[in-house]
Amino acid sequence: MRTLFQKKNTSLLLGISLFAVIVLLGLLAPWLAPHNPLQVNLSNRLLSPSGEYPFGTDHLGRCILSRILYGIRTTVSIAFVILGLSLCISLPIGLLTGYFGGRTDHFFMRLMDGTLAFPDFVLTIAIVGILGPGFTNMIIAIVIVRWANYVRLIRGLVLKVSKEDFLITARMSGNSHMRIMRRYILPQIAAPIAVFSTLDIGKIVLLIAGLSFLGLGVQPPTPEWGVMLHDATRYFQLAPHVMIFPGLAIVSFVLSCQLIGDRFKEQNVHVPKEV
Amino acid sequence: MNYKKKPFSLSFGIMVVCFMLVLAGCSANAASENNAAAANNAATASENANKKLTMAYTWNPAGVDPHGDDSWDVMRSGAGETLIKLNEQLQPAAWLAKEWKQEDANTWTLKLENNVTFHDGKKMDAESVKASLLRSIANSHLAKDLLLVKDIEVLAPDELKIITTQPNSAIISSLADPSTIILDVDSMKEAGSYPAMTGAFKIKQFTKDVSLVVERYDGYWGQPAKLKEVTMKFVTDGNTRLMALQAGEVDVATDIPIDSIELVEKDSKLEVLSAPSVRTHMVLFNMNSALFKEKANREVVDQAIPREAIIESVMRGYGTKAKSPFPEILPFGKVAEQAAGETTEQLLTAGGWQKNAAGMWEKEGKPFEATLLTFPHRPELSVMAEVIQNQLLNEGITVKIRKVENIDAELAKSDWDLAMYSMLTAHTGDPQYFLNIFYQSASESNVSHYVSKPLETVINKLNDTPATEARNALAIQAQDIINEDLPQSFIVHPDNVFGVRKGGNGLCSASDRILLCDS
Repeated sequence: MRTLFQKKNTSLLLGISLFAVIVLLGLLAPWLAPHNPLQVNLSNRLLSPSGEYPFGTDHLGRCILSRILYGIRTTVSIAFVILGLSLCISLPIGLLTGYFGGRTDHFFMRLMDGTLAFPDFVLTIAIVGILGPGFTNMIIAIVIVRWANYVRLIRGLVLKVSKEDFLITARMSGNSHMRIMRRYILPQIAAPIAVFSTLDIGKIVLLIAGLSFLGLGVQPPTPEWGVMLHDATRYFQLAPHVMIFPGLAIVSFVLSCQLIGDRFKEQNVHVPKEV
Repeated sequence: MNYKKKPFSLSFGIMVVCFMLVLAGCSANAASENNAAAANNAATASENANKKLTMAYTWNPAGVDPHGDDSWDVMRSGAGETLIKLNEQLQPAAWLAKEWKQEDANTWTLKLENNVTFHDGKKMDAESVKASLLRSIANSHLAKDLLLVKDIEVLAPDELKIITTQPNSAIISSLADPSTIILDVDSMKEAGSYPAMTGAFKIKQFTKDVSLVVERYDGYWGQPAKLKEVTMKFVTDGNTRLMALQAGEVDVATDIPIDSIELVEKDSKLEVLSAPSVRTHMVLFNMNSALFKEKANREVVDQAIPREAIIESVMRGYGTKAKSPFPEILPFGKVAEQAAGETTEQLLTAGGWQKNAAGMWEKEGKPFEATLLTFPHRPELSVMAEVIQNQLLNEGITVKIRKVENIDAELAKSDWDLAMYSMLTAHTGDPQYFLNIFYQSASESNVSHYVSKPLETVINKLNDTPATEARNALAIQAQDIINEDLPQSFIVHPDNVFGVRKGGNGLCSASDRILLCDS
């Protein structure tokens, strides 16, 4: 048991460390990046990794390391913005539908069934296709797709908590609905939401990178991992490093989220499986 | 207009001739070759008699009707032929028409080859050619605009008279355009049937989105094709074409991505064939946009384009610097380079622009911010767009790149300032058509919305001038006006690049010569 516990803690520790390092690298990018990530230098195209360019250069002679470091800022911050927006929309809807039920609940559940019937990525591509490629439209599209997952999760958690004795007591004590939701339900469901969010942030990063890879998300010259991968596809035989490093960056970040999320999931029985 | 809808599909320029000649096993036509070469060719011809060739082909035609949007693809398959072809110097030469004569300003007579048969076995005569030309004019806007035909008369079984609505000195070279491919009109009456044309190959099978298979036509009027069968697989992605060539799935890959040329060069089984083209990569200015109505702003962008660096690095030397729409390999492409004008600083300051605290140009609180469109079919254009974006950013100008799938549909809208574009500017070996469709104010294809009365006067004069020398001089004069007004910035005339399997079908040596001589 002890060995198992240690192993689990190691993966958690690894996940948190990796996550922290990546976020820290992003925050310190202006000081850590050896070059300007936007500086084009056509005479330095597709250089292999070297002392001056530790990760080599891309098709426009830009430093790949610098672009990856600045890419953390773009990719991860967009992911947090999307997460925040999704929660802002989902939290009130999830709380109200779960707490009160009734017609509103039915309406939102059918709406979510409709949203969740389509695979995330396909629906996101369709929405961006309608709205047009770009930074803002990508955020809108991902929020539209992801909010339903959060509503379903929050509603489920609220339904579960609603049956608890302490909540019945709270109702009998004359607390208002608003106060019950704020004081008694929200603290109970906060932890599972946090765990789900941690897991989901990795997924959101994959969606962002996927859309940018398809040319539907972040537009050049903004350093973003998906855009970097997209640019690298034409050079993967000639200069594989152009593709490897942004790929590793995405893998590392998503892995860190998975390691943290998985560990919490094992401890917390309230977190439902991905819907 | 068909031409406008699919400008980038008119790719490869002169490469079309290469295709036809490669597929038709043209080495047998090389009369000037010495005996040793002829013996060698004969041996190769015998070896290749039953050989098949597979090609990874850039475009994905919707059909095989040459009188529509897919005429270039049919021409490249070696199945179709026109009355006239362009020779090595891009001058009109005899093909299905063996000679021609201008009777007056609006009338031309053409004498046809006598021994030509269509793929369905019928003999080609003046009546069938007339029916084919009338069909192409009815179905293809391009053919209609190029030929300006009023009437076609059959003078004899092998003689035809073409009367034009107005003097059309370019009609002979226009008859080399693939939209005028000669076919047996009766063969198109049955739904789903393939057109019976006159080329060395006939269509065996066309599968949409997959391939076009052509086989040797034994009744061909010229030298028979050396290959028994050719399969053109439609592979629109450059990397996939390259990988198919590397894996040995195909013998030839057209339009190899410039950055992958090194891989082909390094591979001992493969080789690169290249030839200059009559294509021009350019930046279009939207003359209706608030920013680029001002000539000074267009000059700023033009000066920021690092043409030499683009050719050396992005094009890896496979291209020549563009000074005008037409490349210098053409007699009407020898245009004097514009002298360097004022600096960006001087131009923008004179226009009332000021640099803000961030070092960016702004006017009345509005930053100099332009939208640049680019499209994925020619990947090098997107790289160039990023280079230009960076150069302008260094100058203090923000450029937002927008990648679009259908560039022509986007150009028809008004929400753009700059656009990367690519066109075959002299695919008929004559400047008239391009100048008319691209610069006449009434033309739908005038995508820059550029209006210049002096230029239109010169173009109209060119339309009415029959003498070649005078026409060339007028074309140069027109380009001087264009370069002065700067509705477009011309960047590079790219080379056509093929990747081929060495010795696969005895094609390479022949192709090499053809590629070079047809440039």
